[in-house]
Amino acid sequence: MLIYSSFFRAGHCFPTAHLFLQGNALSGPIPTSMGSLSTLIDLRLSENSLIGTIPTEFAGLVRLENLYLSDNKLTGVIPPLMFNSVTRLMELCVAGNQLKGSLPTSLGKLGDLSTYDNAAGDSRGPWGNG
Amino acid sequence: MEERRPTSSRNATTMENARRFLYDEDEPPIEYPVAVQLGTHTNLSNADKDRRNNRLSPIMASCLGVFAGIWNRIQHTPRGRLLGFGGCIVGALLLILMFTSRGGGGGGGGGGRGSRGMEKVKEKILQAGLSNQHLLATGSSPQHKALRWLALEDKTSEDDPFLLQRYALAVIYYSTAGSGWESKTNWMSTKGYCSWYGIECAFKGSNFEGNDEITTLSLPENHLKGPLPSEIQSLSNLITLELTGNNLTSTLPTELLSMPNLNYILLRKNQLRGTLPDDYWYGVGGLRELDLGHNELDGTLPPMLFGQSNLRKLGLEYNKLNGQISPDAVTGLTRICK
Repeated sequence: MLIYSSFFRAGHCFPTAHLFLQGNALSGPIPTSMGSLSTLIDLRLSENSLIGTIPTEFAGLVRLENLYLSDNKLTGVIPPLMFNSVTRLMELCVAGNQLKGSLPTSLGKLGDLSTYDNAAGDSRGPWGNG
Repeated sequence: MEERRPTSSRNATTMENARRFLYDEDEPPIEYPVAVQLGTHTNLSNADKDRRNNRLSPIMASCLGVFAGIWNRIQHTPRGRLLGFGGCIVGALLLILMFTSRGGGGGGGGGGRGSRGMEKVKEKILQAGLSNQHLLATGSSPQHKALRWLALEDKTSEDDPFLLQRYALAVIYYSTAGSGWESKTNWMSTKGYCSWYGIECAFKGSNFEGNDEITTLSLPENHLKGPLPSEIQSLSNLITLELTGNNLTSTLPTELLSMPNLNYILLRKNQLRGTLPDDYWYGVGGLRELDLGHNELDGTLPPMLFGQSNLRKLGLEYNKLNGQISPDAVTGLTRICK
């Protein structure tokens, strides 16, 4: 227990890196406050019934490498400035939603992006050059 | 077990003579829970009765054989002598068989401490609040089986500091159909549990064969089937619980999440049911990884779930969770972090 009290003192307050909630029946919007989980590396919310838009606050997920949002009921656009700060992304899955609009040009900056799955989505747009 | 209570002194004497004949008389008489209780009143449990019935036929046969042998010998007729000799041989053989099978099996009722020890162990379990009295008294319950094992087969002293941990492991074993586990090396043997399959102890090398504080219980993909019993709480130094890919059913014991040192709860791919209660996630400052993916959990996400200060991985995927993701889940956190 000593280890953990020192953990607190050092200011490590929320090191959650992996949050897997996919494949449930979660409803409602994605809380904007989730964008403050800056330690997240892997966020999976796919295969639920989430509605609303992808919060612009997701720009705060600066360590994010994998983002799975596919097969929900999300609408709107992928936040245009998101990938200016979310630069480590390797996997982005947004298929099976009702997303519209162009892909943000900032996406083109992602040197590590290996998977972009938007098979059933409506997003249209060029791969920008940033 | 009960005191020796012969129904007929003649039977007892015959048995005694036969035993004297077979063994040196120096050793103390072997306590036989069944041998001389034929037909007398006893308060045996079902298991005792089963065991008694198993023993009954060879005992009766050997008694009769020896008795007939002695009787016929007395009659001095050539035919009687022959019969008597044969009877003696058969009786003696049956007795040998009976004694050796008892010694080799190790499962006999006489190997442990008897009912007095059982009461003492039971008292300790009740004092610690580990199991309730009803379950301990129910013959078919894992708790009762574990108690019987401790009292009648295991040789750990009632005063052993690790007695309750041995008990907890035995309850886990019986509760999850241990006889069907894929690997179970040394489980339910009288060896220290640090040598049992899947168990790691604190500060000891891997070849340590005693008892010590358990830090890891790891039995992934091992055919565990049934509920995880609340007795697990007595493994208070447990850091890692890894039972991934089994057939654990029912709900998780609430005690699990108040175990102070438990950092890794890895129970994905089971058939766990129930909800994640709102309150009991708070208390666990040390939880690093909670993996309950691919189960049958339902209900909503606890509002403060993400507020777990050290939770590094939270896996709740592929369950039946519903409701909204509460914004409080994260505001609670920002309050802590500011």
